[in-house]
Amino acid sequence: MIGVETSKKPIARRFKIAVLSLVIATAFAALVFLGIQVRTELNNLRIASSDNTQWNLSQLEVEVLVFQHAIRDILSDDDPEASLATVRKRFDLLYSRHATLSQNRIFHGLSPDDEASLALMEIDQFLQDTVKIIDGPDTELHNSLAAIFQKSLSMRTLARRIALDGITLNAVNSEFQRNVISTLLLRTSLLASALILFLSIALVMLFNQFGVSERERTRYQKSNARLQSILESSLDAIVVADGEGNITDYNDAAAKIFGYTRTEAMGMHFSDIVYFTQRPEIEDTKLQKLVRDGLPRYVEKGLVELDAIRKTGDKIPIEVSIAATNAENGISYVSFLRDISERTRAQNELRNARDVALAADQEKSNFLAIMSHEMRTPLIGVMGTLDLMETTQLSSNQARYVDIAKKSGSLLLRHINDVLDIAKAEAGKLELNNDIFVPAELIDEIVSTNQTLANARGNTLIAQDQIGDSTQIVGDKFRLQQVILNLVGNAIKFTTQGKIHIESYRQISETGDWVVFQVQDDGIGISEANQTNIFDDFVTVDRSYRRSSEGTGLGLSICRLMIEAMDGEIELESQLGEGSTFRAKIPYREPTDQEKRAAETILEKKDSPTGLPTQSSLNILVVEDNQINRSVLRETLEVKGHSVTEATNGEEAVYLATSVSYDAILMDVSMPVMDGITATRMIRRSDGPSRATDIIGLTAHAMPAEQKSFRAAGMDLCLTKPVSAHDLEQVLSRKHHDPDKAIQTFSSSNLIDRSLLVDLMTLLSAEKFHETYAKFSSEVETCLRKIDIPKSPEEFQNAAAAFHKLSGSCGVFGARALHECASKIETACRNKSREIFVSHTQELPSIWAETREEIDSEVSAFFA
Amino acid sequence: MTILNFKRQIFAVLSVALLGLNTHALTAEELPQPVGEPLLTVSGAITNTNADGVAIFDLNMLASLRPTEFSTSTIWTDEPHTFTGIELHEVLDLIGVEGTILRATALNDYAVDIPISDAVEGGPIIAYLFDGKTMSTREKGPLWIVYPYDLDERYQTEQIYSRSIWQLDRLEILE
Repeated sequence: MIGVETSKKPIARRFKIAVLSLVIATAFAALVFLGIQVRTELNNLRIASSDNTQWNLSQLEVEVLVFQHAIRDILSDDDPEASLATVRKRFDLLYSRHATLSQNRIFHGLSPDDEASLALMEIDQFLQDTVKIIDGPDTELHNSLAAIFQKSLSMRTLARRIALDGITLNAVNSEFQRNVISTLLLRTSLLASALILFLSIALVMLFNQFGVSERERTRYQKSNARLQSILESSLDAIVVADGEGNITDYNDAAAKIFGYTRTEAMGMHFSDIVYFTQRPEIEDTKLQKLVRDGLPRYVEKGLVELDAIRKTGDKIPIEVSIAATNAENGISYVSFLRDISERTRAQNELRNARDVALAADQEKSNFLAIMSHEMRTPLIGVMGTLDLMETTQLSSNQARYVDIAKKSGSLLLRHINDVLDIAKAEAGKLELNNDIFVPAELIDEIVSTNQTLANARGNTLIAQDQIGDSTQIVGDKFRLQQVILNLVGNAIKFTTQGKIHIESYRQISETGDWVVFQVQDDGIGISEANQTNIFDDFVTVDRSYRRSSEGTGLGLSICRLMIEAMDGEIELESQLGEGSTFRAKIPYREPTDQEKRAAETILEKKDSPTGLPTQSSLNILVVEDNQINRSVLRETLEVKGHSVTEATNGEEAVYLATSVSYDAILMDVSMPVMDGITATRMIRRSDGPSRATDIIGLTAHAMPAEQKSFRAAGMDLCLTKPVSAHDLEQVLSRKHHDPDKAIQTFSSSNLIDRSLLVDLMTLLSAEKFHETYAKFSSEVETCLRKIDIPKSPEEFQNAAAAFHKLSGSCGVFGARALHECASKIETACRNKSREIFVSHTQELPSIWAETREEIDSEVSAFFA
Repeated sequence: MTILNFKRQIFAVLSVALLGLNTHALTAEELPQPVGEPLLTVSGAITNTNADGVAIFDLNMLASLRPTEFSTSTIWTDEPHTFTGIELHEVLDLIGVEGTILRATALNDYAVDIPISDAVEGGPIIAYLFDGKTMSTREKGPLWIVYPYDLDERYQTEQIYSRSIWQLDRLEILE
């Protein structure tokens, strides 16, 4: 039986009882004391303390008179029977009376000065004077009778005085006595009444208490019974152990889990069935100690997962919750245990499934990111070449084909960029610019560039700005533009013969101060079911919706990711058939004075007369290591009538710039021999004719974090590759160009392309990166170990394949030198040139060692 | 009984013996004539007399009867004293009482009625010695009816005190 803890009697209650007992005892004691007093007093009343005092008092006077009478009888000779004997007898009686009275208690308290005392003394004096004569011879007595009589006369008055005073004293005494008794009786009765009242109340309370405790008892019994039935019917095992860990109770469910019967379990120790440690092999006494320490350690700790040992010796996972109760015979521990083997198994399966799924997802993301990245570079070449092709003499068909190719190419580029953006945004690595721009201008621009497209479907675009032409705000203009373009593009697609309103306004609400860009159409609308997931990644977008669009389905999710990265919100309001309203909200922020000044400086520089000339023919230096890119740029510029000088690296560029005056320098950032940054810095520091020429950086991707170093080096502007003819023309004709336009990082060495490496690290998790990097390292090292000069054409072919693979891997990690070297070896294999093969493979180990060192330092800096 | 009381008793018996010359025990049949000064006269409904319808006792006659002695405090004295005398019921037995009331009268004619029922064994005595000495009139003598007050609370009432007559010289048995 698992007992319910008996509640301790509260101290307050004990105290109350003690006080109550004390009160009752005191009252009883007082009552007993008073009772004894009353009894004593009553006894005193019953036992007379004196005989009839009144009689005694009055008798004194009588005795005096009788004595006088006896004397007078002799003196008058009237009575022949009168004799001296009678006189003597009367005297004796008087004497005796006086003696008796003198001893009477009523006179005891009197002071000697009191009248009665004096009178008694005077009578005594008379008696003492007379007694000698009385006791003397008859003749002498006879002769003295007259004198005695004379003296005795005053005795009568004295006797009366004594009598009167005595009576008064007696009355006072009696009165006092009565008062004492009545007071005593009053007190007694009051106390008795109070006690009766008190006891009555106590009795009532007792009855009440009895009722309460009776109810408590019933409830306690009921709850005990209920508890017992709960324990017995509990699906969880319940094991009770004493302070030492010995099992004192054990229910049916426990028997099922552990396999021991209740009788068997009762003699066992808690440690026999539950492990509190992962080391069950430790010796018994220590284990017991551990259990003693362990039980309290797990008390009230909620559910704890431990291992249990069944009778069969199997170990099963259990979930334990331990509570301690302080019963009369010391602490006892109540443990609730549940077999969780099933759950643990299911959890493990789930966890494994999840890990596999996550890993697959991660792989997919990585693949997407890397592929997009890898696809972009060749696409740049394609696009550039198409631009060049347009400038040549083309037949109308050819022109159409080129146009189609260009459109498809730019669409493909957009998709690749989308995927990259998603990957970056999801990794939280999206870096935002703080551009200063006017919302009104932004939407006007969007309307003017999209009007034609809209008109093609019979739609009209209307721009409405409520913020004002002069209000500048801060935000990532480029990305915001992307988002609005996306929304407008959608609106155009899903609306025919309608109106599309593009509005910008400021909204101050409970959620914040916002700049809202609203795109409202009256097109087909979106059903409510689709509204909830329309901003999710492409997997959840409605297929029909997606099919009718030209996009990847990533558009809206990119919009959401970008707006969220800007701490903004994107919302949709739509009704099927009525049209849709999209709102992209970003926090409203006006530029600080410092930001304004910084922006103005750049604008001034551009507008200054020393800037790029406006005339169409310019003398331009193109610095680019990649031959394809270089020729694309050259062709593009020459088509526009500019004259172009080429340099393949920074060193050449510096040499040329210090001897020739160029109107503009297009400077690739990452180049062998000398990179663009160093070259720019050297040109600016030189006193050559081109030291003040505008230098426009060219980079594959731009990161705001590195703009500073570009600008510090002396670059004025930066273009992101692929550079379109349009962009180039805009820059060169000094049309407005965002000065903060993304500038990509670059490596200061030839060994690695830091931008690629950083991209890779950005896209992958640290763990995944290290894993991939380790694979790459082992691949390179395996390759290095296996280097053997090919002897047969077949061997050359195999080696070519191996180095092709190696160079591909190197490309991913931006291991440029290694990549080049591997490519050269691959070429040598294909050409079956043994000499070249040998010379390059000899370089390979040292290049790899340096490369790895460089990658390692970049990696540790990046993940620090 | 303490040694002191015993001594007193012996002393009392000796004093009585010295007072009476013809000491002999009194019996119911024969009540002798008083020789000395008469101390007590019993009259009324009595059967045994030694004078004209009365029984007269002197000190010797009383002393010849079996003496009873006790020490008791009284309301008239400050300390306990020893009283020696004859138990009242013995006197009444001797004179053959037929009545129910005993009227006791003192020298000063104070009188009180004592129910015969008071005269029990261990009850009141007619004391003739006070601390082993005879009592003069001035000392509430010659005779004093004394109850053993300390023996029983019933003897500590005003009624008993009023029956404790001193300077007793007459008894009258009333029907």
